[in-house]
Parts: sequence; structure tokens; C-alpha cells
Amino acid sequence: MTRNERGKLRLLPELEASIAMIKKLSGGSSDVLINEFTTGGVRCCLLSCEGMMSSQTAAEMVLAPLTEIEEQSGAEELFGYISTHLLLSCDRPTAEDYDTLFRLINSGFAVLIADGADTALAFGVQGYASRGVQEPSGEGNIMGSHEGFTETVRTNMSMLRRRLKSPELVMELSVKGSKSRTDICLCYMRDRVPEKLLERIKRSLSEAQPESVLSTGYIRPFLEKRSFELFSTTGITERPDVLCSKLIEGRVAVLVDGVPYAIIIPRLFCESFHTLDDYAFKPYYAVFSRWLRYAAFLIAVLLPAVYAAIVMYHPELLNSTMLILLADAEKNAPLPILVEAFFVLLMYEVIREAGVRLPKPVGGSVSIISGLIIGDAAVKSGLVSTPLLTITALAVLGGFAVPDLQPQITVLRLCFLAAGGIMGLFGISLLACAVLTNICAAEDYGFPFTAPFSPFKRQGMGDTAFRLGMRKMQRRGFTVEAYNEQDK
Amino acid sequence: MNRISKFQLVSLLLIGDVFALFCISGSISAMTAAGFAAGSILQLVTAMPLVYLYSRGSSPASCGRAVKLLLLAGVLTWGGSLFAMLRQASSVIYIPYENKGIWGSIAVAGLIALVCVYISSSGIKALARSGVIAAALGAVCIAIVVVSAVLHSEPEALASAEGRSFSGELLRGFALSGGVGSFAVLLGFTDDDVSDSAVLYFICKAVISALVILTAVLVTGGIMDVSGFPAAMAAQLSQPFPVQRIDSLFLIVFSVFAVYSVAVQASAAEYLIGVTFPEMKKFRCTAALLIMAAAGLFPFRISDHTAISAAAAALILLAAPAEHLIRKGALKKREV
Repeated sequence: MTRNERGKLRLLPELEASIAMIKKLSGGSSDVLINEFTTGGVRCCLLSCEGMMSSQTAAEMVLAPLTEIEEQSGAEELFGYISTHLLLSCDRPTAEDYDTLFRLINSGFAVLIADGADTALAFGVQGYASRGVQEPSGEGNIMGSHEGFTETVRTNMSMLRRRLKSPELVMELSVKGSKSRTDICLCYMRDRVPEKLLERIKRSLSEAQPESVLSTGYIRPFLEKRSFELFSTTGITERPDVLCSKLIEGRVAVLVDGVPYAIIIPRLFCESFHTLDDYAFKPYYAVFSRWLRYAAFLIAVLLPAVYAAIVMYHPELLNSTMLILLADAEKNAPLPILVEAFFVLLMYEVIREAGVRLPKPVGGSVSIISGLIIGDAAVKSGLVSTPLLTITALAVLGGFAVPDLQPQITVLRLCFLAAGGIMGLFGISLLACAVLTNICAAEDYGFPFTAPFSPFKRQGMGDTAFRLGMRKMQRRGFTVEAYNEQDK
Repeated sequence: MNRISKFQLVSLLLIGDVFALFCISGSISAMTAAGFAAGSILQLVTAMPLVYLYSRGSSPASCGRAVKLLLLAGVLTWGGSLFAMLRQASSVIYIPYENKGIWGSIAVAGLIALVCVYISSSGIKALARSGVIAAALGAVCIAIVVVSAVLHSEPEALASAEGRSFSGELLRGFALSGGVGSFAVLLGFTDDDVSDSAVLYFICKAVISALVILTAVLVTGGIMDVSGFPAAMAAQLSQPFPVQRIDSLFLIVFSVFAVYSVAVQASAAEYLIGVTFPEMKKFRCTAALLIMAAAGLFPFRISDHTAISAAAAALILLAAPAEHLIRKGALKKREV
């Protein structure tokens, strides 16, 4: 047995020995199909994986032409004839080692080995069951496309290509995961992407040696720096149109086979407040919606904490009407405000978690039981005061306006509540300073997470705090390089 | 590279100066505003040799050990003063547990120090970026207070408020800017033109000082005698909205400015400790904050020692150029 320069086991030229090796390496797995036959006077074997290829395509496009080949002098001539005279499929890679051979078989290729040949020919006849293109479930949109990514990386690549037909769009396939051997695809616009950004991302990917890549979360940490960051400096999207807009701005994307999401690098804080609908409506309405989302984020994080702080430590800040109203409501509640607020927020989180994990029809029932029965009963029994419940509902509602930041909002809301409940507005201010610094410290590949606000970049403000008209936006040729602080 | 822009530098330094103004005690008048503005311009003039030195490639790290130690002492003293100011001003700004004796003060100072350790450990870039946002928040708050003061104040308060003479206020303005130590350090971090940065900082400082003091005088002019902290009281008294008080906004800005003022001093001290005592690899920031917090427990008021503080500020600004001249003279002598 010989190994190639990458240390992989080379294919054996003797058919019997090669088949024995394949059986040994696959451990006799039932889904590896080994079909021996003779064509052109040479003994061959067609290898495939059950369920990964389309039987009909394989039979019509590969098996039928293969069995009709006239007499050849040897395996080398046979493969030469197939390569030059038969176009059995568009995707025709070759394998010289068993590692590549198994990756091809398990990716849905039909692989042909022959007695006397130390290479294998593969034919793309993939036909595994996959989910069709559906509307994205997490990124709602009114005016844009209703197509979302699917679990098949090649379908996702085609969705990008359909929207960006320019030859500048490059999609590089590679394999990651020592066990999962997952296809990942690096996408970028060659004329827009900053060269150093691409180089650094490629380096990060090549240094990443995960065992498996089963979701974006398996690879994102390898693309971000290691320090503790509350917010992620890589983004995800399940919309091909959103991804295309990011690629045009010079960002890099990573598609992962088996995952209907794309990773976008770099990602900025302000992008969590953008939606594709912003570009479908008039600029004044887009600006209004964006600022509404910023306000909703602050309400979601700070409202319960500010309420607890003011009621507990700074009641003099309330006007008399409000003070009487709150005092009246809170005097009947049996629990201290801080405990009461924690109770309501944690109950909400439990209900949300139950609604997400349960099957959809049951999840709906959970919402009804929790919202109507428990909420109503808690207020009527006096366990929770109505103002606090209203404040909590408003905060939760605010979080829904920025779904991208849901995990951070949930944790920060609880932390700020604790700070406000223990140290009043002073505690909230201290925590705000720490959180603000954490956000401002986030910077990957030289792109500050808080750009273009701080560091202030005038070029970026046209599509951040405001939204320019589409004519101006299309003319300005903006790329993410404008935010780069490392290479300037 | 840990470089910051001139706007980031100016924001960081102004936060400390405005916080010192929030905590200013004793009576103030229109003369105080003029004195503080003139004091800032005088500081700019005093800082010119240092600016010239930096523009020729020098930095705090290239100064002699004595100058570094002087800068470090200045930064630590001002940091301690900030803690003291915070403790003194908390009699009008309600901070839970602050008035519960010495342990309350220690707890509050400890919390601020803890946050400052985190902020400083995130690096000068993160501090500068977040400082700009904090400064913007403060600017909005000051704008609200100023608008409210202009709408509700009586102009005759400007004339009725009694203060010191112009020279006395000039000295106080010069002395209350103990932040010159951090200015001398952070100026070396800017990637913009050094002289532009310095001019921008001192002019902004002059304008903002005058604005804040005039607003405070306009609002508290009539009751200046009973207001311990005129600027803080002005924020409490000027309410632009008929149904909602805005003290909360001021309390938040006050706390945020307190944290950033201390964090700037801590970062400057951390850097100076690093270049003065290179063998000290860890806990530089923690050590600096411990010294500052401990110094803050002493009942020291800069306004009670204006002459000494003003002399110290001038010494900090002139030490590096003076050392450079002495070194140059010695070198020439040796060559001769």
C-alpha cells in the first residue's frame, strides 16, 4: 500500500484488492453499493451510495452508455475513451486515493474503478432527498423575495448565481470536518472584496480543524477572535437576496452543506437593525423604521431595569399621578419589585422556550395557556402588578423588533434588571459603560463592530442612521473596506 | 496599532473636564466662566512646547524616568481627586448605599474601579470608541439642560451671582484641569496632527466650560449661597418638560462620566506604569485604580488648594520639554 504526498492511501490498481480495501475501509456498511461488471473487455466496478444518487439518472446517463463501450486494450485506454468520447455528466472529478473516493461516493457521485487503473472516474448523479426552496421562517419580509436557503449547498449556490450573474462572483468549494466531511462554500465578489480580508478569512478557515460541521455554530467561532464578546462579529442570513447585497458590499460569505443559513463576514452592530424592506420603501419611512428598531432595542434591554430602579430608588423622578398609580398597584403585590420582575421575565423565557421546542400545534396552545390563563390569573390573584406586567410585555415586544439580537437582549435585560434593582440608575449606568465598551471592543479582521457610528465613518452614514435614495446609493459604489481600521 | 483619532482624544479628555465641572463646589459667577475659558487658553499656551516636542516624534515613552514618574503622579492624583469629587457630589446626586458610611463609599468606589478595570483592559481603542458615544450622550444631556435654563432662567441672575476676581477664577480654571496629565499621555496616541488635536481640545474645553458654568449661574444664581454644587443643582432645577423631571438623565450622565473620567486616568496610569516599570507585567491597571480609590477617600478638595494645583498642572505640561532642553544642552556641552 502506498500513500500520496498528502499522506492519503493511493488506489490499488488490482480490482479485487481495491474492492477488498473499499469493503475494509467502509466496514461493510450496507449503503455502499459495489457493482462489478465488464465493459470494453475490462473488468470494472461501479461504486455508489444508496440514497445519495438518483437511480434513474445513473441508469440512463451512466450505466447504459458505459455498458455499450467497444473493446479496449486496457484500463487506461478505457478511461481515456470515456473521458474523451462520453459526456456522462457535467461534473466529472477523478480520485486517486481512497479518501477522495469515499468523499465522492458519500456526496452522491457514481465512481468507476477498473482493473489495472490507479485512478477512479466519478460522475455527478446526485439525487438525495432534500427540502425544497421555502419562505424563510426567521427573516420576515414584505416586499422582497420569498425564497430562503435550503439545506443543500449546491442549491444555495445556484440561488446566489441566479441573482448575481456577474463572473466576478466566485464560489470556492472545500471540505471541512474530519468526521463529517461537510462541503463548505466560500463566496465573494472578486472585484469588491478587500484582498486582505479574503486572505485572513481563508487563513482562519484553513486553520480550523473541527471534527464535524453540523450547523453554522460549529464554524463561526473559528472565524471570530477568541476574546469574550457579547455580540457576534459574524452574521447569518437565510435569505439569498440579503446575502447578495452583502457580497456586493465586499463581504465574504460561507455556505455550509446541510444548513439553510449563510455566514457573513464581517458583520456590524448597525446591520442588526437593517431589513431588506428598508430598500423597498421610501427613504423617509426606512429611516423611521430603523430608528424605531433602535428604540425598540433600548426598550427591550432597559425598560424593566429602569422601572425597577425608579420605583425602588428614585420615585421623586415620577410625576404625582404616575407615582400614585404605581404605588397603588405595587402595594398589593406580595413580592418585592425586583423579585416580581425577575419572576415575570423568567416565566416569559420558560414559555418562549416551551413554544419553540414543542411541535407547532402544541406550541400555539402553550401561548394561549400562558398568555391568557397564567397572565390573567397572576394579575387577578395579585401575584404580579399590572404596571410591571405591562412593562415586561413592552420590553418583550421591543425584543421582537430586532430578532437578530434576541439572545443578547434576553441576557442583558436580566443583567440590567439586577443592576437597576440593586444600585438604581447608578448601577444601570455602570453596567451600560461596561456593555458599551464590550461592544466597542469587538473588532474582527480590522473592521470595528460599531462602525460607522464609532469610529465615525461619514461614508457609511448614508445607509445607517439615514437611508439615501436608491439612485445615490447605487452610484456611490460603497464597499465594506471603508470601515477597515487595520490596513489603512 | 493602538492609535486614536483627534475627535476620540478630545471626547475622552472633555468627559473628565465636564465631570469636574459637574462636581465644582462653591459660588460661581459669569467671571468664573470667563476665568475658566481664559484658563483653558492659558493651558494651551503652556502646552505648546509639549505639542511641539510630540510633533517632532517624541512621546511619553521617550521621556526620562523622572518625567514619567511626574506624569504618573499627576495622573494618579487627578484620578484620586475624581473619586473624591464623586464622593462629595453624591450628597446631591443620589447613589444608593453611598451615604451608608465608609463601607458604602468603599463599595461604590470599588464598583466604579471594577468597571474601570474592565474598560481599561479592553484597550485604548475600545475606550476611545465608547468614550465618543458617552460624550455624545452627555452633549445631548447638556443641550437639554442649557435649553431649559435659557427658557426658564432670569438673566439678572448673571449679574447678581457673586464670585471671585478674574485672576482668582483664572487660577481656579487652570487648577481644576488636573486632566493635563492624561492629556500629556494620550496626545502621544493620536494619529492625527498633534497640534490640531491640542488646539481643538483646549478650544472645546474653553467653550464647554463657559457654557456649563453660565448655565449653572443662570439657573442657580439666586440661590447660589445654598447650593453646594451649582452645576449639579442646575441640572436638577432646570426641568424642560412640565410633567416629567429629567434628573434621571443627569444622574445617568453623571455616573457614565464618572466612570469614563476614572477609566481614562487608569488607562493613562497603566501605560505610564508599563513604560516606567517594564518589569511589572500584570495588574498595572488594578494597582493604579487601587491607589486612586484609596486617594479618593481623603477629604481633599482641589478648589481649596488652587495655587498648588495650578503649579502642578503647569509643571506636568512643561516637564517633558524642560527635560528635553536640559538633555540637549548637556549633549551640546559634551560635543564642545
